[in-house]
Amino acid sequence: MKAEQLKGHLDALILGTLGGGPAHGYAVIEELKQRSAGTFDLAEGTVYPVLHRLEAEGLLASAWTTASGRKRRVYRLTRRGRAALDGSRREWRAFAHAVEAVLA
Amino acid sequence: MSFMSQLRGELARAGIRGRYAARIVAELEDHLATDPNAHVGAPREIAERFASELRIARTRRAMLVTFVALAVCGALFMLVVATHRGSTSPGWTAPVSALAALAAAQIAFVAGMLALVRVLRARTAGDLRVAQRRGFVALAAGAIVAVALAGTGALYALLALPGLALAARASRSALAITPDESADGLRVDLPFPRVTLTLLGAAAAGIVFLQGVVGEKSLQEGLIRGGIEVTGLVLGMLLLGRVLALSGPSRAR
Repeated sequence: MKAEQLKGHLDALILGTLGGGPAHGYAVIEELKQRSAGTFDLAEGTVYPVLHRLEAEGLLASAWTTASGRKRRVYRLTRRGRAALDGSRREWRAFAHAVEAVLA
Repeated sequence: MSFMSQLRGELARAGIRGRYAARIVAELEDHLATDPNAHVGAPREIAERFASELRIARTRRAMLVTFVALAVCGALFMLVVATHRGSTSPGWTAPVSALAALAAAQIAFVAGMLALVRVLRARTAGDLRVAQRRGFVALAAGAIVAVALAGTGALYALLALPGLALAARASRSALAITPDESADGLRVDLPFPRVTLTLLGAAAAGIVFLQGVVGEKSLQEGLIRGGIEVTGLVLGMLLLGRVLALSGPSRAR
């Protein structure tokens, strides 16, 4: 699925991926792919800029760590990010419930 | 040229430089070391995507810093007005400085408020550019206020300058990643822009007129001050109308 089709949901998906705990960019992309059974196989060039924006908006925080002798930037949800994720979950459930009610 | 060198070049071209660019390169280096077959995309595409994602957040942050810096400047202005006990500087310096401070304070207030309104309603890169330009005008006017207040003898007004410089730096970082696109004029910011602007100008002139009449107990003084205010407003509109996108759509250069 292309990033354009996910417009409006990508932020929530990335926040949701980090809801389980801190992760670096590669792990976020892999987690998205795995949890969606390959549906959300996003280009790296799409995910990293969004991670940076979410950090600039105060929803994520990040720090360098060292793994296998390499510097690695690890992202985690901030308090505001967790609140935004909760809000996105509520909105999505209400939306999905409404669509289901109409389509069923 | 290696992929990473190209990426550095493209990031610089998109306005992302220094430590922040180095961080992006380091992250993608780590990513490619973990998965050498990753499809990261073309360097130019990556750089433009970073700039596109970051420009709203950077502009909003710059506006916040600008707002705080101007609030400090405004507080110092009020303090000088409240504690004014006549000039300590001889000659023409103090009256000219006071006039410059009054004019610049109004420009800073109007440009700052309009920048804030536009950034909250920004839909396009052109809107962000308008907000950034207004922010710069407000900061420049704020710096004139601080220097002019110092010219009246209140040297402590210069304390506003570091905050204004910090805000200018944040604004420059936002400007660097925002393309110069055209945007709509004042109608994005205000309902019935011409009428609203005229009413606001008339209100400002009216206040200055009344201040002269009541404060100096002289109709003539009120008329002189009101006249100066109207002249200042017209001049400000002529000089800054395009920069502040007051007089119509702003065009990309």
